[in-house]
Amino acid sequence: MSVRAVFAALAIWLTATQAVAQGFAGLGQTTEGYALPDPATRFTYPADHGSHPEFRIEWWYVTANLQDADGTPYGIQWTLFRNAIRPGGAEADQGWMAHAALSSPGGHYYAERFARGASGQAGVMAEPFEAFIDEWQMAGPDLKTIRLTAQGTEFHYDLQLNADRPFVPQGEGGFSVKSEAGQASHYYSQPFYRVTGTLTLPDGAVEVTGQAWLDREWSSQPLTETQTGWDWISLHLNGGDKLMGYRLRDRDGSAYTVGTWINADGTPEPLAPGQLTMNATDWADVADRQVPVGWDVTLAEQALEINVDAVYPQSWMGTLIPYWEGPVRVTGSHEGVGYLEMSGY
Amino acid sequence: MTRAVIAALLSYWRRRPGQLATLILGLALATALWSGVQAINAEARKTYDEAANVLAGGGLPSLLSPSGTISKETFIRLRRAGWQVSPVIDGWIATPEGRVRLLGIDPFTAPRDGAFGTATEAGAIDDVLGPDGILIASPATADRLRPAYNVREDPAIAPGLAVADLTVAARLLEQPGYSRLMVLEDQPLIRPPLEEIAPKLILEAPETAEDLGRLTDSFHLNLTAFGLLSFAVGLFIVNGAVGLAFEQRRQTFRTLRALGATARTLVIVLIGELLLFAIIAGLAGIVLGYLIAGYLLPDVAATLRGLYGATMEGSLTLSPVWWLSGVAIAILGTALAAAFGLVQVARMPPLAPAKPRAWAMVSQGTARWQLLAALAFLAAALAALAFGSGLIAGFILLGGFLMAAALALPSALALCLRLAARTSRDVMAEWFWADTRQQLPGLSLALMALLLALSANIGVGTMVASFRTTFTGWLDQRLVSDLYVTVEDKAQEDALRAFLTAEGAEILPIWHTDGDILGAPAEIYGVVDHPVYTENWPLLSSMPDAWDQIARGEGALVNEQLARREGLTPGTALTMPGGWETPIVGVYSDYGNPLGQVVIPWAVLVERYPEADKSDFGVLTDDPQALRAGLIGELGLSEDQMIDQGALKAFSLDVFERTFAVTAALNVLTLSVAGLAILTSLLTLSTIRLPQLAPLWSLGTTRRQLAMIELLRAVTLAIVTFLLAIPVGLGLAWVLLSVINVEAFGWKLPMTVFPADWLWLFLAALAAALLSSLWPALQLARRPPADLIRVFTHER
Amino acid sequence: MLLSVKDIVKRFTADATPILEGVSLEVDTGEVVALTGESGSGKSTLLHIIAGLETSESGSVVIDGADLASLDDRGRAALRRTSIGIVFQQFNLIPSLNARQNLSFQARMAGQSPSAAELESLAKALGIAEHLTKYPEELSGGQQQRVAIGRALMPRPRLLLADEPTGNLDEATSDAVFDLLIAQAREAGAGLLVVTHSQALAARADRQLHLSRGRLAE
Repeated sequence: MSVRAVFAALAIWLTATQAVAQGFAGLGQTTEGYALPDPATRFTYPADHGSHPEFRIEWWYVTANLQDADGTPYGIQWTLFRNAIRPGGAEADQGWMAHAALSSPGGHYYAERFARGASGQAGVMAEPFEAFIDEWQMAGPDLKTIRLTAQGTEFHYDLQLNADRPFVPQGEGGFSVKSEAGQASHYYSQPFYRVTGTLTLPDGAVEVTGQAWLDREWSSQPLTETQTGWDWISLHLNGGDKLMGYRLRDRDGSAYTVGTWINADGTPEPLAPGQLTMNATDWADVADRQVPVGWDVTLAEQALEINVDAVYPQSWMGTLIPYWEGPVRVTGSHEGVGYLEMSGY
Repeated sequence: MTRAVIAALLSYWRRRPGQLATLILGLALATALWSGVQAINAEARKTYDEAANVLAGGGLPSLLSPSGTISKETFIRLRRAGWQVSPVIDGWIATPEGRVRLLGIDPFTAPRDGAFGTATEAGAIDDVLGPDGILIASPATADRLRPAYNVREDPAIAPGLAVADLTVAARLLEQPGYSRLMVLEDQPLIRPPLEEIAPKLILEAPETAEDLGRLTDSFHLNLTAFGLLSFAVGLFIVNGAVGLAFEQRRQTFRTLRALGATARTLVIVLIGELLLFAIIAGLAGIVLGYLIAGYLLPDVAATLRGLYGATMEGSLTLSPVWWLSGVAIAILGTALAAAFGLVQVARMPPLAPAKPRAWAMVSQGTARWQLLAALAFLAAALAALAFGSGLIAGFILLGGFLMAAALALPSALALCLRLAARTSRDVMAEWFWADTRQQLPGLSLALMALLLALSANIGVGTMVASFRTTFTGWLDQRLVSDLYVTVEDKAQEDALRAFLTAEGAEILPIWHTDGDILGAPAEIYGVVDHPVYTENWPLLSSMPDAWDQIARGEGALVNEQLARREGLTPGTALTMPGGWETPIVGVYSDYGNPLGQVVIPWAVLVERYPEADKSDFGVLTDDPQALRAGLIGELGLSEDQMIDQGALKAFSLDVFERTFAVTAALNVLTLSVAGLAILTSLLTLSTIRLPQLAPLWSLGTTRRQLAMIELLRAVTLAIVTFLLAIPVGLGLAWVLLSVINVEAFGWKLPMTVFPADWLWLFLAALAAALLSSLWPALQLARRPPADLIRVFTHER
Repeated sequence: MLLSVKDIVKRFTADATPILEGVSLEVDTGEVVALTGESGSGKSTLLHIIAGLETSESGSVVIDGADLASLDDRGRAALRRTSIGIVFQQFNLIPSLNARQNLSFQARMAGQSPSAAELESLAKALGIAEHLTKYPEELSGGQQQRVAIGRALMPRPRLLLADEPTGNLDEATSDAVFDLLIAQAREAGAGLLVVTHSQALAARADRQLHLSRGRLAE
């Protein structure tokens, strides 16, 4: 998935105000002692589903677009972040953070958890696959067949995810470049989950179905000092094709936009910087700030000219480091659903 | 018109700066004593709040294990079931200047917005995390911890407390498990009940400042009572100074009225004037109170630490509320002190005779009213004694009794003076007694102040002395062992036993544990069957075979405070921590201990509470010094593992003395304030005395003689007041010992009277009277004869 | 008529013989009237009633058209400030103010602010020009009474009341002060009612009234 959560993962160690003030500055310097992504590396499953503690940061990130029997749209998010406190890869030197969210017509609900490494309170096992923090879990026999649960004070979800297609390496064989300067991460996705399950809301339980997208990413130094935030999309198009794209905004106003076109059979087509364009068209007042909740997205190679609009513009994550994350609907040359994440606003 | 009136009234003070100073000083002193005491109390309460807030995790409920610590596995089981709990390790680490409470927290799961926020906040958390992490403490506490520990200063942490990462605390305290789990406010939607996850844990309501507050309430109530007393005494000064100012400006008031000033204007201007003084004096009093509080604070802090284990930093903060309340109390005090004078001015007809006697006559008229009020106060006091309970009733009793005594004083003095007059033979003596009686109304307020100060001194002094006598006697009985030894481990215990057996000394284990009994923290001690206990440990009440039962391994003894608090008597059953019951076989006195205490047979303690502290032993020997040397030389025990009976006694007495150091300081201050009150009253009187003294002078008495008579009068009145203060003081002592003490501390003390202690007080009262009358007397002695002549030439 | 007093009756206690039994008198503008009588004859009481300092049982006092009976305490006080000047036997200076401040005091009470020149010319006329910075206790009795007279005259009252103004002064001083009082009253064009027990001094007035057993005789 995108570099989006790097910032949030660091939230364990930084207060919100400090982090905003510092921007990404802190990230540029602290790679010493950590492993760096290597373009030659190729993924081996299921081992790579597990943790890579020699890298500084890592996450397991699931978003799902769901609907009930009436067609009402819902969205859920399930994220587990790992962040090393100090290099060396020791379990006790890891900090864990997790976010869960549920976007619904009745409102956007979210919760946040933290845990100390090696405590038994959080962790990831590759086989049989299990990622957990407290009672939240993503567990399967394997990563293509998982049960996803999480809850907060007002919501709970319990979903079954099944994928029948391969994992998709992002970037060049899983080596995802984040800037002209060459910062990169290891990154693969599973965008082909079919979902069934139950959402529990303040108004009661709802049976839902839909599709989900998993991102796995690890790195040690993913951003340059001048990058101020990102806008990230993952789209399920109606023909079965998928599109992942992100726009890393620079302090000088420019942006680094890349992505991957994923064919319905799972074959990825990495996009060169600039091929994909993303322009904000609609802004909303969210949590005392202006956030773009409508986008024009084009990809000439696929004759794609679409509008990406937030289903619930108030999908704000008021977590320690706040950001916007919620389901979107796609209209235009292609139709579909997806997820949008924006940080740094 | 108003401006002219203001100018005329204020010009008076410009001409008499000394009198202005007295007024301001009296008011400032009254405010100072009051606000100083308030500051100390507020500071202490704030400290309790902070400590309780941190210790309890910001008012969160917690999960506790009856068996002691909670395992890491239990914590994880709860988290993985959805329970949002955060572990805490709670313990003490030693520093050369006393122990510091160490709180290990988990920055990952601890509540972010509570008192832990600061500890887990901001950049430098890598220093905090991990077993080698640093401690965070307030600057003063940090100073105590360095250089033994690596500390970061944070003024937001309560004094006497250090916060650290859980892993650091686990290492420093050598504690593998958790002391408790805080239960966070936000809990998820679906969560199995506690019984399913951790059936052995108990959910406990948040600890609040009230727990510590309840323990220290009596102490603060004592301080407050003293502050109030001082304030009342200070008001007598203000009353004197205001009375003097009104008296001396009587002619001016009259002139102003004659010249067309309305009574209303006059009263409003006078109120404005007093308001101004009250504000100035209030502000000065606050500064002064701050100094007094700063001076007393170390003793207060020491008392709180020694007696209650409550920590308090020796620093004060001035809050705006404090400034405001100080000024408010000064204004209130001035209003009380000046109300009578103002009413007089308002009612005074424009041509009221400028005769000062009018004032005195009005006061004489109030003597009967005062006596009635005294009876009413006495009735209130008796009602509180008969029907009330608790500390408040105790203080109503105290206040009613003191007020009754003060109000009855003028009548009592008048009676004494009438009796004395009957004994006089020559004309001068006759005049002296009659004249002294005539002065009574003007002096009665000051003398009431003196009576209050003296009886407070006698009462509190008697209480402290009684307490000391009882306490030392009790220490002699209770400290039965000659040497107290603390061992480090079982091996050392075995070595100690072997060594002592060889030396022919006897060893008594003093093992104990802490637990909640009837909802309050208590100490549980185990005693072995040994004649030294039966011989030296008197029981206040007991079953006939109390010690035999204990020897048989049955029953429990409870201390007096626990028995009184819970209404326990021998024969009733007591539920002990862990849920078992045992009959109470006796009650013993346990002075100075704020906690409940239970003594059970040693074997029962070992069996029921395997986690009890087993490191303390008493040793019976004929030669403690030799044994001590042997233990150090042959067993390798260190000096601080042993304490002999003498040192323990000295320590206990030191705690005791410190407790009452504050009381003594306030006693001295109150007496000084009373002296000042007499001074201002005499100054007031001296100006209106001239018409009464001039005839004597014209009949052939020298001014020097007149001055001597004035001195003699002050001393006579002081002596009579002192004599009257003795029964009042003893009554006060009885209330303190038999009513307040029982309510506050839970023990009753026998009263012991020390008349020798009164001697210095008598001298102090004499000195106060002499010093305060010296100046007016000197003034009289130096008065130009012309002033005296004028009495005959003027109407005034 | 400046001052018109009719049928004043006053007794100190309800059952006592009245000290004033229907006293009536009139003082015109610019007129100097002396009131004599024995000690305790009620001279001062009558003066106090006229000044509104004491009240009578019956009868009326009308000053410059204003009936005292129709005025409350505040009204009477206002009248004293503006229309009446009073000189007492025992000078009644404000001890904490100096001579100059005392001199200007009543004028300031009446809301006036006398100029330094006015003050000084009055002080000169009263013969106290060189004592203006002194406090009452530093002044002789005669000087104090001169200040008191000046204080009463300063606001230019229509009616001047003097109660034994020289009662505390020796004979020589007494003469001088009395003359000064009359001269100044005439100069100011005020009516003056002066109470004195001295027939000699009374003789200097335009008219003499004698109070005896509660009744007035010319």
